[in-house]
Amino acid sequence: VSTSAGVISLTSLPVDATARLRYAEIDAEARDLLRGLGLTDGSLLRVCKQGEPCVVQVRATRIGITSRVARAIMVEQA
Amino acid sequence: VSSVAVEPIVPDAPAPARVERVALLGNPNTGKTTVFNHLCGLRAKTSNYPGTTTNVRRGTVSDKHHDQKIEFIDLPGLYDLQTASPESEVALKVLRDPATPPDVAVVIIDACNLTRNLVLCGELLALGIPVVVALNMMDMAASRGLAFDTAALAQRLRCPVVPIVARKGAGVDALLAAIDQAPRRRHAAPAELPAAGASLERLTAWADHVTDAVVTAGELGATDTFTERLDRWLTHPFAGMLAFVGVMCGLFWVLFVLASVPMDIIEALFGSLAAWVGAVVPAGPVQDLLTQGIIGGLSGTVVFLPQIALLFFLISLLEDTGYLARAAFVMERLLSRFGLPGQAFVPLLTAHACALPGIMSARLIPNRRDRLATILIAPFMSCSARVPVYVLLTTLLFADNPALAGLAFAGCYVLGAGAGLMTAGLFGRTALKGQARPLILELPPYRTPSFNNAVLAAKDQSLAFLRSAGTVIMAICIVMWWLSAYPQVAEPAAATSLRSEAQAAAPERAAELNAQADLLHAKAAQAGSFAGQLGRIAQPVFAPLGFDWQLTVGVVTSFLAREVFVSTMSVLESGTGDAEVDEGVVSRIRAMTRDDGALLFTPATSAAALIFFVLAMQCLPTLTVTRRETGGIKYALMQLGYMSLLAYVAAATTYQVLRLAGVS
Repeated sequence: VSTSAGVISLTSLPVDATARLRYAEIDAEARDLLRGLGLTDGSLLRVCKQGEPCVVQVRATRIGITSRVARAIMVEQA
Repeated sequence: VSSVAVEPIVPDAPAPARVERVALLGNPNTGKTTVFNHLCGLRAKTSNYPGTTTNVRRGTVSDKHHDQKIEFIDLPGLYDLQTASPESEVALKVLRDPATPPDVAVVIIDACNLTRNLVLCGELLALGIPVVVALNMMDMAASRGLAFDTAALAQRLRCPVVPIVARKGAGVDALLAAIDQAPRRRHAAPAELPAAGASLERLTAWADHVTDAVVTAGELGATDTFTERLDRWLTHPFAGMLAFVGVMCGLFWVLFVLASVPMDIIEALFGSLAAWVGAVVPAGPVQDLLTQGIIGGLSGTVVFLPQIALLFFLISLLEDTGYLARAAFVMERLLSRFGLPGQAFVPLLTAHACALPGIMSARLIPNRRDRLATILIAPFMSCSARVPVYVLLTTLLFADNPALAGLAFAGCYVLGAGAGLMTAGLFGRTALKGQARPLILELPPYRTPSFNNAVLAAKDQSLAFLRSAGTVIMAICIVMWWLSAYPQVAEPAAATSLRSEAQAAAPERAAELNAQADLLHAKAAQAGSFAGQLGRIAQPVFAPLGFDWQLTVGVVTSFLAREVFVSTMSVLESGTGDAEVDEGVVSRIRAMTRDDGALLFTPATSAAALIFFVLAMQCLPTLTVTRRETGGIKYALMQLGYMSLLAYVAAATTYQVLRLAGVS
């Protein structure tokens, strides 16, 4: 999924790629949880696994994200 | 926006002379519970925070310097104070408690994940409450090559920082000393710290800055190759499912094998107690109340205690390893189709042993809507108390074909689970609108579980269960016993005549005649009791299901606990009250007749009764636990209502269809 220049869906990234979070088209509760886990706006993430679930690492936190949410998380490859 | 305003606490609270109350806070998976258990151990008490279903644990520690006790309040794990979650709400209520505010907040920080943990710490510092930081898991950090300048960290945070290894108890004494010497008066927050109420983005930027300044060796976000490889297997659609099935089979095998011994002992102990009371207390209503009402009722509930304790012990071990988070993703693929969260697999599997621990273990599910959906359908899973009823009715249904009886027995489990999942789907469109929360979970590193934490978790849940069993459930047992035992009816003339005959007969024949008289009396007592009368009154309601008054009495008396059905039918048939389903009981019950002399258990009636017991909520203890776990009577009544209605409609349809098809 590709939208504005360079901004793609998290699920489009290959494993081990790093990217910065741009925005997420998800409900407020899910967004708050991601922010609490450290995936704040602009934060750097690394893709550890794609599929179900998508696993990303933000600093030292590994976060499992169900693929339907991961699809709505838009990132810019670093 | 689902966030809450975080305002500073009372600006100039008077300084307490000594530290009397300490709040423990920290992110999930930071070892906070281990610290609390190390400090308070078995003295801790768990209770719901007033007006919520969120657990708060409290315990006391002796303060050697001031010869007094310090109360520790273990708050639920949370990532920050801004998110509108039950955990944040309870934490803020405790911190802002006007009557008994904590003097110090101890923040447990995972040293390997410093930045994210500092966000919560920063929020607390900004609130103005005195803070002590416990930098935990220092051994793990060292093994990853991480080193910290703790003095620099303390300087930046303007609060004491104590390195600890909670699992080994290392540094806990130093932590207590730091708490004792913690500043009594609020002091200025760190200069660079964003003000109270700042966004998580600003707080994270501050935490990043602090981390960069205090980590002297190693890289916090280095790849954990072991965890990464294991995750690929354990969350794989096929390999992950295989691992899940293996782990769950192991868990339930241990549960059933190990729990059966103490369960037998509990039953035997209650049996001995009842016999002793029977010998000491003169025969009469008081003896009946004690032996049958109180001891009998408690025995039937407390017998599940070993299963509950062992289950929570095993769940705590599994949770500590980090596996449960992975298993939740494996099961989400199946359960999300029915509006259930991935974490629902533990409660639903557990409910196959007993709905009580199943419902209690739904606390693993963080979202209230998802937790409610799981609790509401858990009693559909075929618990062990249904087994004797299934055995009896499937044997009656397929008397000459054990293979079909076995198939029907297995079918009951499928029907129960299927009805539960369908109901969850239906609730998602009606009473609990919306889908299950999409899974977003921290995948903590794999760790060796803590035996002590598991023992204390089992103790907490067992005590909660016993409190329920000793109050509400016991009261219900007494009421149900009274309904089944009173009013006492006079011995029927036929029985009296048999006893007169016995007086003149030879000893062997006399015993036989007296036994027959006992049977007649028990049958008359059952029929004449309030429950028996209720059965007769309610019979027209159950007529579309093919139930006569005897079967209706069976349904009414088994409302307390469904396994009572077998003993009730046995009493109605012969007065023996056998609870075990052996060949003799089955053949006697099969020969039961209606008042018009027709056989009672025709295939249509047996099938309808079987369907009824698969789907009906015939378990009052479950309703009391649902009430407790959901925080009110509403959902317990809803559970009773829809399960009873579904059972009634499905059983009536089965009976009528089979009757029309000529199978009656």
